[in-house]
Amino acid sequence: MIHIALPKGRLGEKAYQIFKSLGYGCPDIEEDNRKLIFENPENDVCYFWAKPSDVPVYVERGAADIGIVGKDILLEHGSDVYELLDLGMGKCRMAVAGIRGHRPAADKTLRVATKFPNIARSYFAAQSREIEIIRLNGSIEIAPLLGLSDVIVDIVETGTTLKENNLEPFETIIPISARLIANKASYKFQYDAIRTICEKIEAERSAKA
Amino acid sequence: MDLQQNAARSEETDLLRLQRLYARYGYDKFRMSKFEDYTLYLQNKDFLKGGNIITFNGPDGRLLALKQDVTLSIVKNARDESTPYKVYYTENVYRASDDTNDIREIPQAGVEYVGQVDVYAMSEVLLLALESLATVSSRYILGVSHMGFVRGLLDAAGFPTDVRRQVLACIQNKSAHELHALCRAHGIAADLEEKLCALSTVFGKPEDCFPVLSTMAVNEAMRNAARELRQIYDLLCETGHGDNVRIDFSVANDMRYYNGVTFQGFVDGTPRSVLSGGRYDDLLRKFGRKSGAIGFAVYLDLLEYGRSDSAGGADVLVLYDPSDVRGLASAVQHLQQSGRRVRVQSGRTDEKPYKTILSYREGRLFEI
Repeated sequence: MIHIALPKGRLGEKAYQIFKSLGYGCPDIEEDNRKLIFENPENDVCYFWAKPSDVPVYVERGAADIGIVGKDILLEHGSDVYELLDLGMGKCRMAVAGIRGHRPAADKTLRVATKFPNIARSYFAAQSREIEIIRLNGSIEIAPLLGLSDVIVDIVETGTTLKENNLEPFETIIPISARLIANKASYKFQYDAIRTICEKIEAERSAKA
Repeated sequence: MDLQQNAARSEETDLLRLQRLYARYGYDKFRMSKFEDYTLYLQNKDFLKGGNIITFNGPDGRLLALKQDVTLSIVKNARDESTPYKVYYTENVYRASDDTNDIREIPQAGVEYVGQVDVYAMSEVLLLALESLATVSSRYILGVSHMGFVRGLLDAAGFPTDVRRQVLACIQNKSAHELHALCRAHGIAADLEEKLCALSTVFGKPEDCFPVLSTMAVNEAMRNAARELRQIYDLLCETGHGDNVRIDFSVANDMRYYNGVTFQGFVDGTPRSVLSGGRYDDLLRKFGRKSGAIGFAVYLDLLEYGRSDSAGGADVLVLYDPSDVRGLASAVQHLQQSGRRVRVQSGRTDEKPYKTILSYREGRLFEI
């Protein structure tokens, strides 16, 4: 049986629909119930919802054989998992943003508010830029507006929130999308089942393309 | 009832079996101090398998570290001699977690071969790796790769030095989509891009993979590496261990140290590789040695994953009254001689599950 970790939220729901369309449906997960783990022995699958940033933890430690997770989380946490497919959904970008028209001067330490400190640190280190990380857990956009930081490093999807708050993206760090990840041991011992899932997803994506 | 059978597998028994295995192949035991010069680790930080080094000042002011790795200490002491240096070790290493800074003591066993490395020497080390896995699990896989093959393809593609690490990471993560993107960003020829992506996905029985490797090889280095893999595999098959070998290029180690065959062992039920090793002649060069070297480590702490909870404990609990112990010791010995694990305590029973609970009164045992 393949154990699949899905991220709570829109991305996970969309991912489940893909699995379902490929023959990995699980009626329990579609019902309104209080279950935490959803199993369908007929299709040999077992699903559970996890906080998106926890999905790689479940997969790396073998509680799930495969999982769906954003590239942002993989980059930030550096998990030891196989990243088998780019699902091409949940597309957005990791960007440096700040107050419109106010690009910070290069001659001072840059104060960067973010919930992705590792991504921010390696991006600015590559530019040899001295920065001070201000780690926040949400509502990052407020930081430059209140003078807490010079810029933010955050995910930008449509840019509407930035625009409505007089902010703008300055630079794109990396494009982000959802990835199918697998536990390294599960991949070896359940190779046929995991490869079949990958091939079905790829075939469906090519058919759509 | 057989006490051996009854007792669940434990770290100690695994360790004992591994020691016997390595000794059977004529490897000498290597023992080292708990402490090592910090500079040894600092100068070879990339060789170490993650985790922060735990340091402290020695009495003379020297910065010391709690032993984090055994291979470096063995290599440091090995000399270029005509006869190979063949050792095994069972040591605890100490690491601080990158995420949580928790300090951990990790039991490890391993084998190192320093000297003239030929096909037989490599096969023997891989055979020991396979037998080590068989010692701890009935379901195991040894993933085998060759850094010469990977390096040959990267040389042919001509990636800039600073990008080679990223390319290697994509191969290690089986991320063909990321490799496509990297190749396009650096203008790599389409046929080499295809080969690189195919390399990242190769996984299977060697006899199925060898033809694929032949079509992938674009230079002499790759052809030599593929030939060497085949020679090693043929020797492993002679010993009956070929079935558990898989060709898998995600088993790629740091190219600054590893230059030949590399491998990782997995056992069913454990989420990470429990064994890791490879040929690391380039590390020897850093120490100014001309010899070659190959070895591996088994991470015994990870084997706890596959271990049942019923380990330890006793089969029989004997309760007694402290005022009435005459003959108790011989009664207990009599029970133990029948192969059962016997716990003796005064007073009442505890929460632990015992198959049998007995009470000792007036020179006799009564079942409760």
